[in-house]
Amino acid sequence: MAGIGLGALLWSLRYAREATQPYVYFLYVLPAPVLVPAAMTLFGIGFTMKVVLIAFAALWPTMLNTLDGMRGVDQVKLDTARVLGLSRVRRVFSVVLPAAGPQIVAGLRNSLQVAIILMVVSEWESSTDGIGYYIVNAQQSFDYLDMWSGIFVLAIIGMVANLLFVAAENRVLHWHYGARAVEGRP
Amino acid sequence: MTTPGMTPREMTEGTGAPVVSLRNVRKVYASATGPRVALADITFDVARGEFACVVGPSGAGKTTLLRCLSGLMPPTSGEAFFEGVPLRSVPAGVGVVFQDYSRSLYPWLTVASNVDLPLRVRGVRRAARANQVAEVLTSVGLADAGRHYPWQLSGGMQQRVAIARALAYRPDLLVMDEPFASVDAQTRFELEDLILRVRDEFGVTVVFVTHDIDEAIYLADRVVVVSKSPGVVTEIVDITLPRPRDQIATKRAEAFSRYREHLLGLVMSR
Repeated sequence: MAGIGLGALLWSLRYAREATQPYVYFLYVLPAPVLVPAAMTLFGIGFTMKVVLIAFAALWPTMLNTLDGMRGVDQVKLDTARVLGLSRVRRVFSVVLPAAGPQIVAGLRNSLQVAIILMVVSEWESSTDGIGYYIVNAQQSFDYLDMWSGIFVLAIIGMVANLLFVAAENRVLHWHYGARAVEGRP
Repeated sequence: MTTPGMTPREMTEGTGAPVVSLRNVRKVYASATGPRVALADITFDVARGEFACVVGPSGAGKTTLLRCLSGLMPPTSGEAFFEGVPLRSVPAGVGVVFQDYSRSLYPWLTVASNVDLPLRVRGVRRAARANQVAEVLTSVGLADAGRHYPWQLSGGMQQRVAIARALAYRPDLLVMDEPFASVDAQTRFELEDLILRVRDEFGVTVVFVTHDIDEAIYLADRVVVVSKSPGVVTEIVDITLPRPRDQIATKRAEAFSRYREHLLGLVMSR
């Protein structure tokens, strides 16, 4: 949500976009797991650190995709909106955001993956509970059955999260897939 | 919105101002190779209730002209008026149908919601909206298509949806940019007759941009010929063919061929 909001904000403020672009890309290319030590010193070991870190890393894919998607909206769709008498605010919510929908969703999908990765990594590094901790702990005490079970559970969690995501996606973007199927594109 | 039972057209009638009025409109684009003059000097009027076609070779700046006269884009110099008022933005009384229906219709909305959108932003009550949407969809022959999505329909039907959406709020002026260029020939004839019919039904003034001379003569009261870029008005030809027009009888008439010859000469000579 914050990613979409920030992306939309940057889209509407051209100067802010140009000013922040180098920093945005600088932070974006940084592999988020290396921030675990930094986050630990800033927020200590615990729940806050994990949440902050996951939120921070998951923000980028959604934000940049939202920005890109909104900038790529067909001029004819925008002209049409003006002709139909849509106000600026309404143009954003009724035309630009839906048109950018497919790309926003692609960003969210990336964010979901990044979030799961960071959840596990942050638990490896600095936790006394959680699934990441469980897997590493089992491995270090040569308890391979537990280790593999942990990995298996993680795969299931990922799968369920993805299924939920796809179900939501199909609801929101059914028009997109319908239109694509008609045009004969994959 | 408007007084019930009275269209904006009737309320402004009697002011006598032409619906569209272009005065020395000039449009220059900045490009990598220096300024490019799309329109050099365009002046013409379109009277209330008139069907005006704008023809010209490709690259004559026809689309630029249309964007200037609908208020989507300000001219570099000169002035465009709608009902006597200088254009600063797109007025509420203007409807536009773009060439590419697949780009102008919103694929995330159903046909009915697409047509409903301009009514909703104008604050029309829900019940009235449903009636108006059904009415205008019936006018374009799509009474049963409301619940479908645009992309589930054929090209010709999609363009009908775009026409219905542009007419839903009963504009004074309907501007059309080569609206039938991307449909097959048979559908094109059907749509030409459709637009003549809804024009009478809605009493709307039409500016219709096309590169097809036969289409222009068939539809228009007047044809405005624009030269190749930089665009100027070469000539304005009054078309006095009788109405109602008929795809076979009108196009067979000797007068039709004379107009055709004359206009082709004008368009091809530059």
